[in-house]
Amino acid sequence: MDERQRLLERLPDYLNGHVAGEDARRIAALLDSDAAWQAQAAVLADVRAAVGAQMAAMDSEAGLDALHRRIAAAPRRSSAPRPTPAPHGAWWRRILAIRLMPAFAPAAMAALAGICVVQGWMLHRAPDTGVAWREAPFSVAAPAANLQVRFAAGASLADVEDALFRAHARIVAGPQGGQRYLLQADDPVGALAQLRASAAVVEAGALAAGPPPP
Amino acid sequence: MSKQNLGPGELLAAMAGGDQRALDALYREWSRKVRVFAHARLLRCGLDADAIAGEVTVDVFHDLWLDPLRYDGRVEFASWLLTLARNKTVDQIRRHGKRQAVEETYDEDVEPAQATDTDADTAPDPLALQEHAQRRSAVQRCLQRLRNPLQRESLTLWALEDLSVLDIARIQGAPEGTVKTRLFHGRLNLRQCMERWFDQEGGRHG
Repeated sequence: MDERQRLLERLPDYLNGHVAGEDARRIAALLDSDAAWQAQAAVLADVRAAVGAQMAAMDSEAGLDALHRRIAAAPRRSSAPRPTPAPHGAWWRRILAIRLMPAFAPAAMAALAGICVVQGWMLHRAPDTGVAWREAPFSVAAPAANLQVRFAAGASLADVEDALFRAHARIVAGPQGGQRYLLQADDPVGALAQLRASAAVVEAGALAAGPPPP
Repeated sequence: MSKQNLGPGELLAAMAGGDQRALDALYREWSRKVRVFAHARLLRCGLDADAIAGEVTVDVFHDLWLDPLRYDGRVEFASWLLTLARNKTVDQIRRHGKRQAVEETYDEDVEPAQATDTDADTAPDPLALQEHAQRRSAVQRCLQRLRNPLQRESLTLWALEDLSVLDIARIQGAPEGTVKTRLFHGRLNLRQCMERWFDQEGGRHG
């Protein structure tokens, strides 16, 4: 780049006091002696004067009221939150907006604790029938049964009825695990013999005697 | 101590403490510069430059009020403030349309077209003005008519706050060499415009 052009590009900085040293000395010399440089500086001086005049013609408070209004309408984040106005509209909004809830908190907690205590006491007193039945021994669950039998897969209903008739036995529970049925027979030994002789029965056996009924 | 005697840093610190009088003082000191700069940027965009420059000014100082400590002192306050003003002005221009984007693609090195007779017709009556005021008026009008908004912006920034080319480059987000070119071609175009204006006025009234 031409040295003269380089210095000319530094003229704005020079006029604003941002050039020092040798460049500043050379620009000053050119401004003293060169009419073209003086014209360049004059244009910039005109710009400065025009912008200054434009600024001087303005009211320094113009817009200040608008700024105050904006600040009043939207306070800064660090400011204390303004109280929320009473909501209008949906009933649930009004319930959510109730500000007295903290005052009722102790009473609400006490009532909740009371409900829990009463409920616990009632649960403690109630007979736990479900647990009793789940934990009952097999023989207790079917106190009347004294035989256990597994019928053949291909046995018809008539075959099963015939076998039970001959053994003087009746089904009291089943089917259970392994397709077993529990039977009650007046004569378990005789019934067992009859059942084992029947083609409809695959497997038959006696059940151990349960505890005496309460 | 009067708020008018305090520097921007002190005023901002007072604003951080909730002192709205500090904001008022800062506004009185700096709002005109922000407004003039925004106005220069908004000219020839097809927008109401006066009104939007006013909006931008209020917006800039509202931001300052909301978060005064955004200014961390790493650059001169003037550069920082005018950068904020520029960003908001450009946002406004984008919000209102794309005309500015078209102007921004304007080639820096292309000289502007000759001023039209219509431009001269709208100039003020020089008979009613003193020579000094006449010249200032011509500069203002020619500055407003610079077709390249970045040249106009560079010249306005230079004149506003004694900023260096480097400061202007930071504000405009451009390389220093580009700003030098903008300033050079800007004043060249301005000078040509003024010469034409005076020729026309001289021919009319001389």
